[in-house]
Amino acid sequence: MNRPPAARAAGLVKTYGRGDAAVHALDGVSLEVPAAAFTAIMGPSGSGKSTLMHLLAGLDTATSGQAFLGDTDLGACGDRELTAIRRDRIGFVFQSFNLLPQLTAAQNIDLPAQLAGRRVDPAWRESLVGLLDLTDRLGHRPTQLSGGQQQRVALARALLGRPEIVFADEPTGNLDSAAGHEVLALLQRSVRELGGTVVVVTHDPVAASYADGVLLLRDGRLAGTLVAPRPDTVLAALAELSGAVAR
Amino acid sequence: MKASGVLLAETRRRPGRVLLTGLAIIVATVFAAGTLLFTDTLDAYVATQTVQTPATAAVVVTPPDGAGRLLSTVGSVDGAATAVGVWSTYRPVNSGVTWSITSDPMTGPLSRLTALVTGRLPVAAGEMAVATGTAERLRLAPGSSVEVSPDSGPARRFTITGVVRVPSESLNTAFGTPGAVEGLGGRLDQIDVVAAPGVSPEALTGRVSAAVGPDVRVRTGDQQRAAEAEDASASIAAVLVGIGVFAGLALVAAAVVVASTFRIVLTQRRTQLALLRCVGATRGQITRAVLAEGAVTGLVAGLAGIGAALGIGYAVLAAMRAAGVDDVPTLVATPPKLAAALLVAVLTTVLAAIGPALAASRIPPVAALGTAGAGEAGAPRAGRRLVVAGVLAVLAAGIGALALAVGAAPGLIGLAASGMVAFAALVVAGPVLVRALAATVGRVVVVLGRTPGRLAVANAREVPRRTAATISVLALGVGLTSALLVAMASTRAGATASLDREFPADIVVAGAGAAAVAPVLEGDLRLVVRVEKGQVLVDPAPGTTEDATRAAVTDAVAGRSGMLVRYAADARAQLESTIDTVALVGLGLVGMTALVAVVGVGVTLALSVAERTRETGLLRAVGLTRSGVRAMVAWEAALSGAGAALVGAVLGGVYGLIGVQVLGLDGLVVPVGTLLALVAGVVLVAVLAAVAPAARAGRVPPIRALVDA
Repeated sequence: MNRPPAARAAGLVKTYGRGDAAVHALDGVSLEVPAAAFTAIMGPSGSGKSTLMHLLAGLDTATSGQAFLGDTDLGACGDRELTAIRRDRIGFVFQSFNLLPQLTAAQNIDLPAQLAGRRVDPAWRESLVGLLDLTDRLGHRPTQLSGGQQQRVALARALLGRPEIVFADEPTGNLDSAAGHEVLALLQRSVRELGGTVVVVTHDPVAASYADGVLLLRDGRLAGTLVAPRPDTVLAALAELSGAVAR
Repeated sequence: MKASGVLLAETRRRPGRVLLTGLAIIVATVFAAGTLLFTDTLDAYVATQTVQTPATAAVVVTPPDGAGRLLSTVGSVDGAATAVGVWSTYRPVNSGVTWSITSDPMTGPLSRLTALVTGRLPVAAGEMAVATGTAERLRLAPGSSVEVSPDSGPARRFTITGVVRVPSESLNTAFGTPGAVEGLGGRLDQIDVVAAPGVSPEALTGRVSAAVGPDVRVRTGDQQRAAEAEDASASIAAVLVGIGVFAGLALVAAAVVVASTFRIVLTQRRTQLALLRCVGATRGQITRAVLAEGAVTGLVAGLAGIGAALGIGYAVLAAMRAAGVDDVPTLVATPPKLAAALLVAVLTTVLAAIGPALAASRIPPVAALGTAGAGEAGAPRAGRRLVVAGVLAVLAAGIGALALAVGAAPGLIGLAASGMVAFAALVVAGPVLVRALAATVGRVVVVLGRTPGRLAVANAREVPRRTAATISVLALGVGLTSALLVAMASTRAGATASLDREFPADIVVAGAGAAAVAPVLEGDLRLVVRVEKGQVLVDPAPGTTEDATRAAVTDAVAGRSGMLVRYAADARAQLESTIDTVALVGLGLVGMTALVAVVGVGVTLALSVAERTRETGLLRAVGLTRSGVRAMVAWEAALSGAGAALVGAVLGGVYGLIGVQVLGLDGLVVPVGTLLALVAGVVLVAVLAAVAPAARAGRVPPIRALVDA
């Protein structure tokens, strides 16, 4: 796999507050997210994993350092460009599903395309809806759907635009294990079968084990990587990180 | 701490929200308190303007027949130092317009002319002073002369010796010596008497009364002055009652807005309220806590409103003084009345909070454990709402029909009652009607607004009760305005039609002497003259200007008497100016309700935006631009505005037409253009009210999608 990285961080620093109250959520992180792969970002609470995702996804701006999506330096983009990038090049899946309650499942799925004024490829939409087993649920409002169904709608919304990269923030955090497995397996298929790039932020070793590689963060810095993770190796690596904290 | 203590602690933590919740009450209170200040100030001012009897008059005699014979009787009563008769008459001057001519002693304690502007007061029978306005209009100055036609006999020439300032001057006004006015055929209106030293007004009144006999009204000066002041109050009382009705309407509108905002704020605090229930608060405690918060909100908003009204009052009067308006009254603030206004503000707010308080008490404790469900709990019970609304609508129609049958003033009151019942029906049916609105106007918004428009319609449908409250209040404001516009247009049309009947020509010369002048006018080639029913009707010949026509008629009638010359253009201009004034005052009053409604739109949107922060963040995260977010909020406002404007214009138009019928006025006119402009204006104003909430929504960063609210 010689494709250039899908996303890249170079000396990323994110500081909240100032003076004595300053918190360094990210303290100089440099890393690469490989394309056409499923990457998990892990670390204990407060390690900066969510902040890292926010910066790589153009949801927030760095205090210093650079975040790249492909070749685009996100720090150099204005609000309008970032909005377009999020809309056209990135897909999002959130922990709390984050569907708009006033829209139906179908309307939620089509929303980014509508915002972009893009035509939806009907064949792709149909196969996606079929893959995610949502065909019967398209007319329902989010409140009429189960958690797993809502997250599959969010997944369809993220994948419909064939984004360069899908960011998922604790996508299984609010799901039972069966629904969680389903969502992770679908993310995995989107990489294996559709050639997409997925980044999942999670603290669940089982969720991380679906990934091709794991990036471990601690205290706002990159603390290690794992390739071909299994739940037990992830757990061991996390234990080592915590141990390092204790020491 | 009691439940109310916990909620009030929250109120103290976020005082801005109290002001936001109470904003509608603030506006309504400003209006109510402003009405009180205006009433009291106007009352005091009019009293000083209309009390004519000088403070020096101890006793006032009103001769029943206007004859002068009592004057000497009163003057010779023991203890009467001076007695002066006040004569008045209305006479044509220079064969034209009628003047009001009143007598004055010109010297001594009983003279009413205390403000001489130029020249000197008359002393001889052939002299007169004129009021400032009259002097200005007719370019009269000391040394000018006028001819006054008496009851009978030839016109008499008077020399103007001075110009005086008088409190009110509706006609051309002049003052002569008592002898001169009596000589013109004047009537003795009253006799002012000054008491000799040591004689009390009461004692003198008794003696005068004994001298003139039981059929003549004799009052002390104080009684007379009080009666004059009361007359003035009565003349403005009707106006003030009208203003009071509109202040009440503004309060009703404010109550609906406040009820809606309370509901929203409490929905946002659902988890907090449920937590209180979890830890043991009873339903009653929750209800009382919310009502207590309502009382505090009403108190704060009421105080703010009264303070603002006082500030505006002083500022306006100061500005008038600075602008050089003379005779600016002082602001009269009556503390007990203002306290009553404050009480009304508090009561209105507490009443408005009852519904939301009961709803809050029904939040189950388990809600504390779930996610805070934003939006409205429970779908509107469409069936029951429609039934209640239908009953109310039938009731409104019934009262309206009754009002139409009764007619006149009681009918108008009935019509107002019918309107309020119709408003209640609108409020009840509102949440159901929102669906219909989304399906009609919403389609247009979706087409015009594209994705932000579609989101706006979805947002409005998501909270039908809230959208309905906003719309119904705005519809009330629009309805009042439309009714007024229809009534004004119909009145104008009716009055113009009757004016056209009264004036078959541009100039009408009537009276006993009219026939004599007809041949003179007919000889003038510049004029087209007809004689009908003893009236000489004069129109300009083609090519003759209005000024030339007037000059020709003035020349022809000069030196003749027994004629009344009336100009259609003058009557029309006077009518227009009267109607315009009434329309302006009416729209100002109605505007207060509209202002409350617009505040309602702004506050509701502000709260909705605050509630939807997370959703807005999500929209930003998936690619809605900042301007797209702002457009979404603006479109929601436009949707509400359009719905309210349409409902209000139709209902208001119908009520306006019925009102014209009830009053038995001629002319039924629906000013379609004006109403369309009103609809467009309301949509525009609603969008303007959305500016601040839209800006705030636009600032929501996309990252808020991921942060738990």
